[in-house]
Amino acid sequence: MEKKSIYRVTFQDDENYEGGTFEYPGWNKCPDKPIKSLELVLPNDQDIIRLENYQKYNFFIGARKPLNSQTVVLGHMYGLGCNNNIVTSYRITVISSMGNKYKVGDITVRKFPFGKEGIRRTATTGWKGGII
Amino acid sequence: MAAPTITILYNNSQNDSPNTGGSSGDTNWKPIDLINDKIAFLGNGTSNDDANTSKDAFKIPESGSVEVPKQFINSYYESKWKRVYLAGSDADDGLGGNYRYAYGAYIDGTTNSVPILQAWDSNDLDSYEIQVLGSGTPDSSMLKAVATTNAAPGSEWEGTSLAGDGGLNSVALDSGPIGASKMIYWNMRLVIPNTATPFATSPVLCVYVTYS
Repeated sequence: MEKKSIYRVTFQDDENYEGGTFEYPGWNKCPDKPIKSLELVLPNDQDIIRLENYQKYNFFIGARKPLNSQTVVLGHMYGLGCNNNIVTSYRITVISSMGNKYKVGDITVRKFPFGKEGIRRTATTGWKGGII
Repeated sequence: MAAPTITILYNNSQNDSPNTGGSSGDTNWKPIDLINDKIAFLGNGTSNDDANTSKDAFKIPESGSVEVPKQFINSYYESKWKRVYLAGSDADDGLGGNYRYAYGAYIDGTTNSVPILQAWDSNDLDSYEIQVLGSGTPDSSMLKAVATTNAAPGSEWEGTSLAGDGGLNSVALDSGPIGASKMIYWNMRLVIPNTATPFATSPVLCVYVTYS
């Protein structure tokens, strides 16, 4: 079965970049030109969240490496937009277990000062420029 | 980029020195077989290279709180207890100390944010209800850790109580995202209060990373 892109970028010139998979998101291969919007594809492969009108964008996957397993356990997909040093973070749960209060497809929206948007209020890398 | 490859290693020597061998380890550092090996907290009666067919269990103290004195890797391949000599603190009667290089992870690749050490009940990675992790109260977790990637932990270090993914009960293992493949380090301890009831349990440690 063909793996679908987990995000889509539209640039100022209206060209698009299709993101990769959870395993190989490919954000670092996204062309370095002004971003008009970033669309996150929700786990049902139908609905999307569109981030637009941000000065900067970021995207990454959150995963856990248990110390009793060879595999990495996916957890969340993050799409972030930043304006005037305020980051809006959209966290989408992509895998959940029975006891987890967050179910697959749950969306958690948070705001952080730029530089404190990462887990434990730390900075993240991977920001790309946008247009408003 | 893809998810970074993470190899967990331990220092099986009494040399407080970093791993120079990447994911393969060196003469001091050995990779943990994540499928078959386990980290174990044991009593004084077990020694390095003892057969893993027996062990000296730690006894709950009659008063106060006491650190379990020794930490080992239960080596499936060697069928032996391999001691992590520098693990633990010198607080609460512990046999460790101000040691920087006890446990480590070789991150092969890069991350978007700082790697975080967490502890959970099971591989579901969604609860921390067992007694060792505080029975649902993270601050009461008996398992405590400190990041040592950039500095030694200090004399009689206490460590952060590990349970779940809460900011106050997990440990950032470096000062920021991983920009190039490298080792990150931590030390940890298990402190048993006299109020504990006997247990044999296997909480799951994990490293949370982000990648893009």
